Amino acid sequence: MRILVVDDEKDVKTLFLQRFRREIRDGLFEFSFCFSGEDAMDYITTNVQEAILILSDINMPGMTGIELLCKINAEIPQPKPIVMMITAYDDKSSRDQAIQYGAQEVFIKPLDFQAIKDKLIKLK
Amino acid sequence: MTSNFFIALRNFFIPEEHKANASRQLHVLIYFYILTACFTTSFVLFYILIKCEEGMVSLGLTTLLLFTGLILIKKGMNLTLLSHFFLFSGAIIGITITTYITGGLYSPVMPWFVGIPIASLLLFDSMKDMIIWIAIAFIGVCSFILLALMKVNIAHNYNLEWKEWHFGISYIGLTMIIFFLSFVFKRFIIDKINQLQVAQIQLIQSEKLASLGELTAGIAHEIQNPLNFVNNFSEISVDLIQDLQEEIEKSDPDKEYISELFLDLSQNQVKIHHHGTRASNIVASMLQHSRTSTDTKEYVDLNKFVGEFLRLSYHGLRANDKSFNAEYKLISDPNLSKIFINSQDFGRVLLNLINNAFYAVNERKKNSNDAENPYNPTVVLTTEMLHNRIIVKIKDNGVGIPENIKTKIFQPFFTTKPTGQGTGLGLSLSYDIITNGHAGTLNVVSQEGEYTEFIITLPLTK
Repeated sequence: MRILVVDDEKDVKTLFLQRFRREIRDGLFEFSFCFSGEDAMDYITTNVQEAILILSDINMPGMTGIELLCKINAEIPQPKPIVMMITAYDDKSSRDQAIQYGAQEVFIKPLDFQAIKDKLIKLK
Repeated sequence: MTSNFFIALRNFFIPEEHKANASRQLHVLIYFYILTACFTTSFVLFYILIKCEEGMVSLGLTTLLLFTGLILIKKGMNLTLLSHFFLFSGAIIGITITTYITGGLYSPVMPWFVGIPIASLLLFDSMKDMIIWIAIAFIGVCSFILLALMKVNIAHNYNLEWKEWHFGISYIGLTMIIFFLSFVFKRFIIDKINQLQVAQIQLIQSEKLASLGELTAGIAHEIQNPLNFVNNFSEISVDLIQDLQEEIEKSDPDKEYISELFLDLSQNQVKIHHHGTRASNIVASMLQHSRTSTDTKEYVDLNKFVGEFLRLSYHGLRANDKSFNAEYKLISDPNLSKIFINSQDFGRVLLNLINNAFYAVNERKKNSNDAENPYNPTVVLTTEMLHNRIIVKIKDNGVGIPENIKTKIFQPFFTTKPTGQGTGLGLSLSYDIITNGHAGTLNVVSQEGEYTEFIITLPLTK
């Protein structure tokens, strides 16, 4: 399963690669990284079939996670990728807004990787 | 002792319903009545001594009217009316008639005309009421001059042997009344100024607290990000050590794998340290912001400092308003060395200007629905070193500042935000911090509907 992680924090890449070291080695998951909403949109449009799951931060300068989510809903043809959100604001309105626009899950920073892992494995 | 007596006497005449919050006008009026009545009473006694019967009558009548006025004050009559009544008794009955009785232009009472404009100035708030009595005094003085020029004989009606005493007492009395009333008035003004200063300090503090509130949300977000890395990288490190342990315990350990694990481990420690420092910097800048002003200046890496506040402002606004979004970037001059500033005050200036910039682009975004040319809200900060001067520019493509308010934006309490949203102190404080605190300049260039650019210029101090 290919997963696209979108976050303006560059260290997220190192974090995910280390956290999922075993799964990557076992060929369970494959990760790609984008550091802005705009980059992510480019990536998704050029690699339509590849990204099955997108994990995106909500608060990014420029295009936000929510805007990215809306754009995916509007512009990407079926089958649409599954989108999950990450946010540092642990409040109901962020979560509700993300869910309302079609996010499947909202993870709160600091991230609980065990929970993410469980969710991803369940999807598989 | 004496002042306590006067205050007690004054308070006695304040109407019951105004006891708690008597106005300045009421206080001044009571003092006027009491003092003038005391002097006219003593003058009546003096006139008995120098056998001036007409003067006894005119000043006796004045005294009577003045005491009636005091009773009317106690009864709670309208103050403007009572002020007119006071001047009528004092100026017409007391001064004009007594002057006429005691020798016209050559009367010792003549200088008391000076008191009429002064009394009207202190008693009335409205220009119209003041001018009426200034005109009356003027006409009075002119009439006596005219009468003297026309050689109209005005009798003195008092024993001229007492002339020197009469002049002396009259002048001393006038001087004392003017001095005492000015003294009371001065006290009022000083009290008012002190109250205003206290209120101003409180307002500045509340402005700081308000911007701290905006910041807290931004800080929460900014801290969660580094904490995310600290927590996760340290957990990974524990896993890595377990892997290492397992590998070492094997009969044939894979050296390459072990060195790979070590590399990851050391890389993680670097990341943990980096993000821990980042979090503690954010907390430090938050504390700096809320602390009351100090005069201490320190060396600050301006590029880093500006970037930090740009992020804080952005995330603070986003946390308060989910729909808010804008692009922001920092164009920094790499040649900029550390500069010597009051970082706390300077941070406040940056935060104010950056918040304003984001506010301006957000306002423009709300009003733009042009689908063909979508509006792209952008805030750009530039740092620059130019001829021993440091320049920080904060530019936004927001609503701009209308020409007619450009001169007002640095005035205290001026705000265009809806009531309750801005204290109107942000820019005036910023201006003060830059010009007085750092010997710099703060300028603004703006085109309504297009952009606004604030330019801070600081001298490079060694």
